[in-house]
Amino acid sequence: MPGGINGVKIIFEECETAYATDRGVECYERLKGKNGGATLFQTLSTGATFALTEKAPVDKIPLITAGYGRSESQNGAVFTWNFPLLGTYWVGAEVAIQHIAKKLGGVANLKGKKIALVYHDSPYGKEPIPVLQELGKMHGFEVQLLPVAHPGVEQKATWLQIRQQKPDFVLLWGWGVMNSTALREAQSTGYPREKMMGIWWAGAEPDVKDVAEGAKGYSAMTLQHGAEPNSRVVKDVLDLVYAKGQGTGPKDEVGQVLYMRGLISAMLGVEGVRKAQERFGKGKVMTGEQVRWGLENLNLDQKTLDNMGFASVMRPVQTSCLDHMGSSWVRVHTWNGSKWEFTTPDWYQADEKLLRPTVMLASGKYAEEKKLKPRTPEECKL
Amino acid sequence: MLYRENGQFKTSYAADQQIFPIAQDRWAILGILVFAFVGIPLLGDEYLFRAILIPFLILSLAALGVNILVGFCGQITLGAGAFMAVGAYAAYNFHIRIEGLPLLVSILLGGLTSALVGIVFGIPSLRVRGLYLAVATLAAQFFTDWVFLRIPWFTNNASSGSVSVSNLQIMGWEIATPFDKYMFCLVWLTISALLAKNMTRSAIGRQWMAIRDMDVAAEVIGIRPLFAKLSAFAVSSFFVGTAGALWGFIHLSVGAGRFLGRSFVPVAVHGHYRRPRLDHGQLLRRSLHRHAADRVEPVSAGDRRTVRGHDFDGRRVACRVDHLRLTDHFFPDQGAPRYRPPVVHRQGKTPALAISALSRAGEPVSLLLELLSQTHHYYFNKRRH
Amino acid sequence: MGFFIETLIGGLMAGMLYSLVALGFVLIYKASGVFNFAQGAMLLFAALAMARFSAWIPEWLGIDSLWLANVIAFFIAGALMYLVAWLIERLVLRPLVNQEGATLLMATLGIAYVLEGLGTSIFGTAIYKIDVGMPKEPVLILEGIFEGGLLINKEDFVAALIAAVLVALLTLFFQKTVTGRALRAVADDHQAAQSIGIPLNHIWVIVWFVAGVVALVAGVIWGSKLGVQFSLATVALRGLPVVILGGLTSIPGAIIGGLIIGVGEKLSEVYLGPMVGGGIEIWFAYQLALVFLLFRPQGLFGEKIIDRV
Repeated sequence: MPGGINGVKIIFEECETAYATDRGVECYERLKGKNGGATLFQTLSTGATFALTEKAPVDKIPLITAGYGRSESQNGAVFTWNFPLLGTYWVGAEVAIQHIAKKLGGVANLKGKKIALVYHDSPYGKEPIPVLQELGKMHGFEVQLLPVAHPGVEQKATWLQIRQQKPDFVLLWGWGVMNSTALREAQSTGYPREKMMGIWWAGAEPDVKDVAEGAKGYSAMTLQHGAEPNSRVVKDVLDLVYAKGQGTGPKDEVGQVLYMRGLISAMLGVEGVRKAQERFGKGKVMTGEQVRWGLENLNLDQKTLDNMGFASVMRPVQTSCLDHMGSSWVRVHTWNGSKWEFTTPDWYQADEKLLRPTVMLASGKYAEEKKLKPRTPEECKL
Repeated sequence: MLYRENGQFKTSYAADQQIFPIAQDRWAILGILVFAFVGIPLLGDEYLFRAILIPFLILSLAALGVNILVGFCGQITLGAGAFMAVGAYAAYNFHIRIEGLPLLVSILLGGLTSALVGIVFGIPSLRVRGLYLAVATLAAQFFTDWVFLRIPWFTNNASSGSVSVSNLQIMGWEIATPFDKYMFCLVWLTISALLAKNMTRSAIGRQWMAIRDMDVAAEVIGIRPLFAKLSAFAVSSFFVGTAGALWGFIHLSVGAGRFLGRSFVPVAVHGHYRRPRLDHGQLLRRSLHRHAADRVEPVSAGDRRTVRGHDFDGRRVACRVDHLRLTDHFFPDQGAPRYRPPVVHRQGKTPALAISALSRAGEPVSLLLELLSQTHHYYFNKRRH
Repeated sequence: MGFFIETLIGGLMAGMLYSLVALGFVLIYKASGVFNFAQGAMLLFAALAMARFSAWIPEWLGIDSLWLANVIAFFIAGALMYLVAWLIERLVLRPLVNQEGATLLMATLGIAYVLEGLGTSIFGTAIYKIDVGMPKEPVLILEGIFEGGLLINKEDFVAALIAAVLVALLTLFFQKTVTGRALRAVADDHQAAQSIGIPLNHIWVIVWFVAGVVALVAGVIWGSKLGVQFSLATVALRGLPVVILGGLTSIPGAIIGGLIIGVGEKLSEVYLGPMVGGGIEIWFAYQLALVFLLFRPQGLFGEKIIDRV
């Protein structure tokens, strides 16, 4: 079995940024020129993504921000180097409302309902607000905003308000310890977990594991994948990497939700490089610019995904110069007290017709502020 | 210290009052400046500039501000991060809302806004002291974090609360490359440091140090704590605010909650130990006597070593050193060290100071102290003569 | 009305938990004049030790009983806190004796960094569980009087009870035991205490150890509420306004300060929060403390600061 991407070996480096923006930027500056220049970056932080959005075009290095980052960066005409692959928070917000509508038995039943958003008081937590408010106006439901100050260890007041106002659903846009605290407070104020729904960063094992039975019934959106211990790609990782003692993390976390997200992120980066090689030369080292082309022309159909072992883990991804997201499928899974389970039928697709104008508006504003000229379709072909 | 000022005699006031009276200090600072302006540009690469040196310079500027407040005025603060954020957001808003406002003016306006906010958050310092004040300043930190997250106007309605400015230029000089940014920050820091240094050497700086060393004593001799403390808050916040503006414009984008005050404090507190050559605590106690005394005994210098300095109105004063201790013989020093006629404290500004110290209703402590020191001095003098 | 009382009770219980954190600050400040910024880190360290040992002990010793494992883990964690106290006295306090308050404050900042780093590198960075069998489900009381009843959080109630017992024990310890009296003597005047033969260094170890035990109890309660991970250290930020409100030198002050802050921030968040967009409770707590300070600059029960020229 040949190593590397068409024989080109990968060098990768990690930085522990502790979610601090300046450390993320320091790491970026340190690594971007190392070993002949970085091919791509995965920032794993919304704050760092914002800070690097202006640096990446100068350095010509693509940023992959799968499932986080700036929602409007889906518009590749303006955000030429950001790739919020698979989904943004706006997609998450829209799907959350779809799911709630389905639970209620139709969009019409949303009218007059009250939906509370318990969010981390930061750029990340505030991302879904415009979309939720827009949808609220459209369908006639009320959005109640309940910010929780970082790090979210004290939420008694928030949940007292929920107990008083009795919203019909609670959306949880939390971070780290805030998620489990929210679930515990929900438990101790008696708010039904079945009516709570989290974004994908509030829907992994560490968020619910210690609450265990107390979080039963809580559901969360996923970036297509859930915990996938039975998928072929996980078996491959265990057989080919961990069996040789080359695994880097704890073995029992392989196949868990966050592990899968990392795996898919890494796979998307690699496939971007592979695609670039198809055009610029197999077996050659790709530059950031070439990889951007690769990421913009990513076309992973179901057969390719199945071959890689991602069958039933994710659906096809197809990006373009104007659409840097490539897919807007989301699934919903529910915690049963000991593990995450998908409920069927569980696939949702965000309504692009609805989100696209918001994306265009926000990215247009950004372009205007920064005096950027959006790329034209002709430029895209280059 | 590795070196002392022993043997470096000053033969003129100019030599005595220069910025760095000790040769080693002078040369060290000069060396560092030459290295920063010439050496580093030759040696540094892009990574060093962008990731290490630019944030280093900006945070140094912030530390300079904290140093004034904590080190020179003795008001422990944990709110520096808040003032950085205020400066950054204010500068940003001035820059985008006023068309064609020069970059320098934006940054200065950011600093001034921060100074105003600093004065507001400095008000509790008139009543609350020490560690209580330190914790109370955290209120500024949490409050500004909240304000910038909650009020979209400050962030120009950016949903994320994160804003940034591009196309920076000053009089046609485009600050684009890391080297340009480094030089800009370095020049800014050097000028600020010079300003700060001179401020601490002037009347206002002496007032700050007097407050730091013992605020009650300082008040008794007529330093207004209101002015001294709030001016320290204002000046400190100005520097911290400009640092925030630089951080937002030059280094990263501006985002709430990114400025953590805590890391500056250890840096700044070092200033606490940079005592001036005249020990102000002693100077204060001595000048207390001076203001309370009927007269100041003239001393002809030359027979013993004389220490010279400024008093809190910026006038030259001198004091005799006896066995390495300051005696309580204080006299205004107006020129070369030779015989001066006695100066009665009712001349000049002194009565005003004494009255202001005495007339503070509700300050019985200082009144009592004033009286006590008078009797003490009376007794002391009588015994002597 | 029912909801108001519910908020009030919630605030009082949260306040009790803040008091536990504040108590650690007060103990150390009282006996050694050090404002211990590392209290949050000590809390985290103790909670991490407790969480990990209670998981390891059944593995090592083959004990099935959760209760027994918890007790053993608690004592091991306590012993560890003694070691920490001894090391701090040896390595930090002794060389810095007679230094200014600001210097010692900085030193405790250093201790905080070391403890946080050490704790997470020894015990790991994941979220760990402390299961001491705290009840999680709420109860409703007085349903006859208020519509819908009053919702009481059992877990908070138990926690508040533990806090109250701990305070009572500490008060007894300070008032009735020989060591307690020695501690108070040291707090009053270091030199005088030393001159009558109280070993200063030993007393400091004891004080830091007692603060460590308080941190451990607080860590167990907060840890069982939130899970143990590095954000736990930030709980100390909630304790700070409590300490300055109550006065740095007063144990009752820490309790009453905690209750005032707890009630103040919950009421403000619930009733004022919605008007201004919410999320105000943390800065409100500090502002509330500040308002009290303007009237009493040394906190409600703090010793009056007298300056002599």
